[in-house]
Amino acid sequence: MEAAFLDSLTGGHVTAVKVVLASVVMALACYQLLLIAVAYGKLRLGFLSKAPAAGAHRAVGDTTAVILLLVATACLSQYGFEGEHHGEGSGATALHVIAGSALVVVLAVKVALLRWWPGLGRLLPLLGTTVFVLIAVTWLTSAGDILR
Amino acid sequence: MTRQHLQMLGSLLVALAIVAVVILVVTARLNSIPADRLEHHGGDSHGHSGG
Repeated sequence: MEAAFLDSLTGGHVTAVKVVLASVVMALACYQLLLIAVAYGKLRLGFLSKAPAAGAHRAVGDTTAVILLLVATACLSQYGFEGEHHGEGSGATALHVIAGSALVVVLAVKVALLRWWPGLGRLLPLLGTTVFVLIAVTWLTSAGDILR
Repeated sequence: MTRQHLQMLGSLLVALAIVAVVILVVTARLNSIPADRLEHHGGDSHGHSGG
């Protein structure tokens, strides 16, 4: 995506749109924790059983992953890997770039595990927790910092 | 439609509600942020404060 295309797509509000989308991802990630806790039987809710919770977790996860990739693509096309979010070379920017890049990689591994290597399903809780932590760090070092 | 279908539909509707609330709250917050602060964080090309 070219920066000019993003600019016209968002009416010149690229940063604002990214902040909104990243915040949606953060909120859905919290909801995902709740759903997977129900699906694994760690949390019992009278009105929600394991199978529907697992199905909803999968559907919300797929949607969240698409939004996340859109934000990541917009971020990379606007700033590249160096970035200018908080002044060149600041610690928050470096952390944001590292956490964001790791997030894409871990998410890809999680999806690959689900689709092609079901035998390694025992790793899913670890990968899911890692994805949540990376989403939180990426959000806190960008959108969260803007909104505070 | 079975009970499980209804539960899943309900879970997805909750997700939709979360998305709607976040969009409203964050948009309102962005509108209250001075344009220069938002520009400092990435620079909306028109200098608007978002929303």
